Amino acid sequence: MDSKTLDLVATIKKTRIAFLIYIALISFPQTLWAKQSIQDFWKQQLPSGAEEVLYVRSFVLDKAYSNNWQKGQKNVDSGIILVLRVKKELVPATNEMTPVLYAGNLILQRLNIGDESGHVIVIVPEAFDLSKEIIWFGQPDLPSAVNAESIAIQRQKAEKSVKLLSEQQIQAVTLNEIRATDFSSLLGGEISRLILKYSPQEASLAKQWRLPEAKASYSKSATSQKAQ
Amino acid sequence: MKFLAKQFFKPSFQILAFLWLFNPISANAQIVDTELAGNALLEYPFFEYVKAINENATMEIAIDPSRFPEIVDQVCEIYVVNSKNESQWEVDNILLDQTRGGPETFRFSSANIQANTILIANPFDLSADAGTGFGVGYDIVLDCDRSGTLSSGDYIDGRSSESGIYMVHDSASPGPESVSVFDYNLSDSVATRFGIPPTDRAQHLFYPTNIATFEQLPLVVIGHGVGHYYDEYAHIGNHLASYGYIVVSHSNDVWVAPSNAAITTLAHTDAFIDQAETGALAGGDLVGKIDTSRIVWIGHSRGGEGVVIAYNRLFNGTYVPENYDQNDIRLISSMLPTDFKRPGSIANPNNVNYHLWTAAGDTDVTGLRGDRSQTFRIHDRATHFRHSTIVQGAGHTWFNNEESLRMGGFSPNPWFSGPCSLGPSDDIVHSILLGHLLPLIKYYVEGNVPAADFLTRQYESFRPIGVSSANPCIVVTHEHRNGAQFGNFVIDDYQTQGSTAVSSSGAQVRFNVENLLEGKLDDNDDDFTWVVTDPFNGATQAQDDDVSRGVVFDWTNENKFYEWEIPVNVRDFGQYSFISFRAAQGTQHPNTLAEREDLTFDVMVRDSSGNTSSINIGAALGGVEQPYERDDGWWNEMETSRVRISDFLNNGSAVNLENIVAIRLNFGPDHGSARGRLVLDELMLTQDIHPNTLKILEPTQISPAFAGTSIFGNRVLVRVVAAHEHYFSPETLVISVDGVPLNADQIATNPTRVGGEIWTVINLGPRADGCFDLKIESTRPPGVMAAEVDSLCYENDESRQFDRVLAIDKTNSMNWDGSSGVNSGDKMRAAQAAAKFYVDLSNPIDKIGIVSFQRRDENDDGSISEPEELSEIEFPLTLAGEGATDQREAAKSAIDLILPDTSPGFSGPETSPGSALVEAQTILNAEAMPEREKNIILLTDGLENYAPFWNEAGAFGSPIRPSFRADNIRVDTIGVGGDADDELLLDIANVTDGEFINLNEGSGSFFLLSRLSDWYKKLDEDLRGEQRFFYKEGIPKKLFEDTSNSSSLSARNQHFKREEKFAVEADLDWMTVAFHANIDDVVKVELFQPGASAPIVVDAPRVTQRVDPKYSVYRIRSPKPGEWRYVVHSEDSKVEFFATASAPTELMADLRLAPVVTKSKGKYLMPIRIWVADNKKVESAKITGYIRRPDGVKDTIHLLDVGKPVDGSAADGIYGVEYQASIPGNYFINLEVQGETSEGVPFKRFLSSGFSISGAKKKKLQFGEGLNLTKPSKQEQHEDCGKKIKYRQNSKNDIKEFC
Repeated sequence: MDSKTLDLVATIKKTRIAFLIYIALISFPQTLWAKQSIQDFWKQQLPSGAEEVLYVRSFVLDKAYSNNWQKGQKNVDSGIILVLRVKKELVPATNEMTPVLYAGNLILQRLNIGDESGHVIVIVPEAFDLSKEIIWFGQPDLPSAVNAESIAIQRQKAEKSVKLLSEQQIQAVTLNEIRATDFSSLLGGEISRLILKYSPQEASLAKQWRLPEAKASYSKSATSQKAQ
Repeated sequence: MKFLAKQFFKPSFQILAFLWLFNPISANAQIVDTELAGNALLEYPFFEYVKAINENATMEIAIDPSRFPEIVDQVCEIYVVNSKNESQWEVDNILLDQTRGGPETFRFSSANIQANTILIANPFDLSADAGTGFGVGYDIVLDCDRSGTLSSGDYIDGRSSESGIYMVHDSASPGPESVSVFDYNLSDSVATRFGIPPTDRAQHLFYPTNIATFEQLPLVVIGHGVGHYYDEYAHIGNHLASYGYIVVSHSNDVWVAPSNAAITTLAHTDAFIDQAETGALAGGDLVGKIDTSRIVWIGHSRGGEGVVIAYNRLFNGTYVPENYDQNDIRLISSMLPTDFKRPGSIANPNNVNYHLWTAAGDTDVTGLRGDRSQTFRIHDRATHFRHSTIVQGAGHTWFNNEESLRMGGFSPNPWFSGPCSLGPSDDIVHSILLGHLLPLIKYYVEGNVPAADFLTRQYESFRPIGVSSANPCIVVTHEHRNGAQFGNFVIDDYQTQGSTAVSSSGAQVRFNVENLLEGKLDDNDDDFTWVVTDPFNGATQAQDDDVSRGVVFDWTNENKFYEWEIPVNVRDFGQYSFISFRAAQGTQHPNTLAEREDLTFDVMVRDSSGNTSSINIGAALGGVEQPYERDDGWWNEMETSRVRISDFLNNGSAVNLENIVAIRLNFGPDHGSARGRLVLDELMLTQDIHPNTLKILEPTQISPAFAGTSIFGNRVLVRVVAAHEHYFSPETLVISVDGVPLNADQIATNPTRVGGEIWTVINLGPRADGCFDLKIESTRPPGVMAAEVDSLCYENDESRQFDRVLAIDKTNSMNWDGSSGVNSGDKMRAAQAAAKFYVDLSNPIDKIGIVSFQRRDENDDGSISEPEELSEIEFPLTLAGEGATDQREAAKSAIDLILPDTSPGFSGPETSPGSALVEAQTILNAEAMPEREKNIILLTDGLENYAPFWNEAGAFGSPIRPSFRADNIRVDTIGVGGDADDELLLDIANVTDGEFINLNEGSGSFFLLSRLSDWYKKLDEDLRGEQRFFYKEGIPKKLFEDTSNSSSLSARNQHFKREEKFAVEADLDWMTVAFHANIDDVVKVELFQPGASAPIVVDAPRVTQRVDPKYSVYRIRSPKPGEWRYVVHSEDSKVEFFATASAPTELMADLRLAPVVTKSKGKYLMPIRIWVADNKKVESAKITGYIRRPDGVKDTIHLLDVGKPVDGSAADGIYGVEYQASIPGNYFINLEVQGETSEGVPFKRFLSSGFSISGAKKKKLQFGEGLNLTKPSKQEQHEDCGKKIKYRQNSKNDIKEFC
């Protein structure tokens, strides 16, 4: 490195502090505060229920799939698709732990985040009477980490504050049972349609589930491009 | 065997490199290899030698006239030429300069390195176009005879396979290849088969469009986190694919837990390889194109934790893929990973090459409060190679490429907080990311040389061209630890030795810095505000059961220091390239707040003569980085600083790098930052070994194996170590000798993993005299090899000749019993007896010399004239001879006269083993006879308390260790007594390829005299390549009436005649049979051949015998196979007596000890291994014996071959045990191996060895020495003494008590 470059770097180092201060003033330090506020919100609000149910539809699959949201996994060949309107603060797109969503004692399989739309699309992995058991957000955790005991304790508390969805509302949004060959078909079909309708900000999910399948006879249709 | 190395010596790169660096060869005689290319610095050392230079920068060369005085006043032409390796230079030495202006001409001066620094290339002068590679190599030549060729007297940087310098292009810019991109879902059936959830079947594929023209390409797999999608990594996919990688990012099951993401990554990798090979992907373009032995995993956020958990599952065997295995994962790079620390799914990288990205302004994975996102913990769990890259001013989502951004907008939530933002566009972070990923991956996957500079040099000094150096907000720090299994020495990592005054390597630490504390690198209150009660404020490298520790201290406007003493065995810094450590500023500390800039200070080395040399860590720009001041808490941002060791020599520094006794960090106004608070860790010396490196530990050119004779093939253990143990499977190694791969019959024991090494026993069969090259080559990954030239040597045993010098301590302490304080003379007599026995183990063609040592007034002239009166030759090196020319009796008479001078003429320390070594070395080297094998046996009972010193300069100049290291003399060392300097003796033996033992005034069932004699016999067997197949202690039990009335025996012995038998196998070249008693003339032995009724008759040269009042030694050529027997006539059945028979045999059993592992204070593990093989591995042997502890207790041990790490695979003929010890001191091992050969013939072998655990109390000046006759206290007398027993030594009435 020549001396000119060294001088330049030294000058840069000297001016860095001033620049750091300047940038700090014009930056937006809102998100960390926002995250802490969300955690405070959770402390105050949880357990909490869904605001509204927007869609209810039972499904039956010709071929069961392994639902790994439940302890020990569970082969699911029927269940219920729900679309719920929820408080956005309960469903941030964070990698930290977030409130776990339950139906009664069942962990609901989340299919989207819903942080922007406030709509979450979920699977109830078995027959379930929405009018008799609560849909509720429990304490932030990894779904893999909760157990029956912790669910029971939380649910006791939830039942005191979370109301049942209104039967009338459920009936209003309940559609006829849908049948699919497998869960992948359900994802690419009805569930993708729900994503596009209720949480269009997450259209990538629908696109992903509708991608063509790789097969030995898969035709080469991709674009070749010079890397940018 | 060291003589053979010299006899057939060929220069090796390592030896030459050492010479090039520290002993410049006369320019008149040779081409001088040295580093030349790099950058000028404004302060000492005034130049940094580097491997990579950006193509838009200038290149300079420099040479230090104080290190290379021959260059002074020479006018040389300076060439930058296309790189060639050594063999290419040999056939083409023409110099063709590649710069635009042609070669520079320069007259080198004597002034200093600054005056000899020359600009030789301007920006873009030299091509950096390496295609899909990275860096174009050039060699630099100083053509001082201006011949236009590389010739004698010239200087070159880059004559080896590694170029002198590499010009590199912008690593942040795309490569030359067009990229094909595919989006698809795996089919439902494939996903189900591999366990991929239906929600996460998508893959985004990138590969060079022109893939048909490529060989197999490495695979990079990317897993996203929560809130990210599988297709948000196109910037990485396109970038790497344009450089010849196949990249696939997959949908990731991250919501349930990172452990689910782990399974998704494991399964997607497996399914991708499977589907690519079936032709289901990319229209079949990838069939046969994936190099599954080179896989990289990248994960983001929960996916970043997921890839680590995935590896952990491969590591612990809970997930077994179909199409790859653990060894194929070459690198894991986690971007801003979570760390949930869930039981059973801990993110532990274990031994994988691990890299961590951290965004200092991340508000998602914040690294702050709580226990789920302190990402440095994952990094610190990595046990081998590891890196960390911190990007200040960066948020969580600027590492991926969100949909909204691709649509032209900005992320709605960048998860960022802090000053000096690099956003809101992710362009800057992407350029940093891509610019670093390329060299990172090239380094680990391809072994790219210039890439290392991007990983190890400070960002202020060197960064990708595409990352602006004009933007002061771009602040990136690197942490880098070379984790090679060899080539590193950790001086202090604070993981052991809790005292602040002792380093983890056991040496002293001194300091006067303030508020110093060692502890866990953990902010203990999770509040990143400085308080005195939280000394490691801001540290997030460890929590709960994490173990990373370090030291923290400060200094305030005063000069202060922190200094490590260097352990004796690593003081030769010439064998290392860098001093390396990691450090961080203590966040929010008042001193950190007061000096808001990088911290700088001096690194100083001091040699044994007190010479010093210092380099400031900011010399090449940078320092310990100023922490990022985000809104809520600052991290301790660890950054690695490395100082090139050879730079300490610049400008005539008098420091002797071969004997550095201390590294000191000097802080304060005179050394850099006036004040500061520093967290420090991982001070180490490193050779910078690349993980894709194999090394042959045994045999080597320096220490070749005796592979046999023209009629007999010996079994040879080959030990290989990989810089990264899991990157090479034993099954993938091909062994060649002299360029010819061995066939199955030549491999007795297939390569198998033993501890951290790979062992195989080869069986080459007979060959003509000479030494042969050994080569080990890996087929997976291909192209990695290790070779040791001339490491397998053949010589007809008949002609092997030994020059042997016995160096015997005769200081006054040798007369005194160390534990009882009795002036018994026992140690001295034992030393004499064993030495005489050894003399009689010599063959007539061997030479014998005797040296004794004691500092004394030898000529009684009232003064001590040194060094003459430190040691003396008691018997000059003389041919043993036979018959009329026999000199052995004379040598033994000389030994009898070796006694302490009880009037040494002074009072003070007497012990100078160094003087004896020098004396012995001098007489051994007096005659240049390279065919003779040279050996010294050094016996001492004391500490080295008088010069010349082994590893320190003293009254007679330099330490003697370097000269012995460079010599070809094997030195076996023996400590007798609890005060012998075991560490010194062990180091002497290690350096010279000898063996060390401390017999602790009697080990095992015998006391010192017998055990010492037995050990000398064992050394003789080792040297001659004999296997001990019979060993019996004690007079044979079977008592019978002697009716023969043999005239050869005195009548008084007839009542105690006893008999023992031993089997001798067929086709032995010769056999040595020895009988030894500890008391003169008490035992008589007769030896009988199979079927003979009369004792064997001496018939030289077929049968020779040496006799002494204590022993007899037979050497018998072509001994008759069958049952031999010996009859003992003794009047005393309790005399210490042993009988041995040994010979070079087809079946070999050999013992190897690994270094003692310190688990914790008072808990040590000694791995003990024995391999047994004849033409094949020998299974089902029974190996039992005992270990005698320092307290005299014998522990029974069994060595097993059951497939534990200590014994390799089950039933591989390698047996082992991990012996658990708890007492510092000396341990003696005695083992018996018995079983059946591979052909079903019963056999026995007897092996012994010893080891020491440091920490036992030593008396510097022993009782007796320097006529110090103060008796030890009772407590001292009984220290380490389990129980006292009575024994006799030397004479039947000489009864002693002993431990």
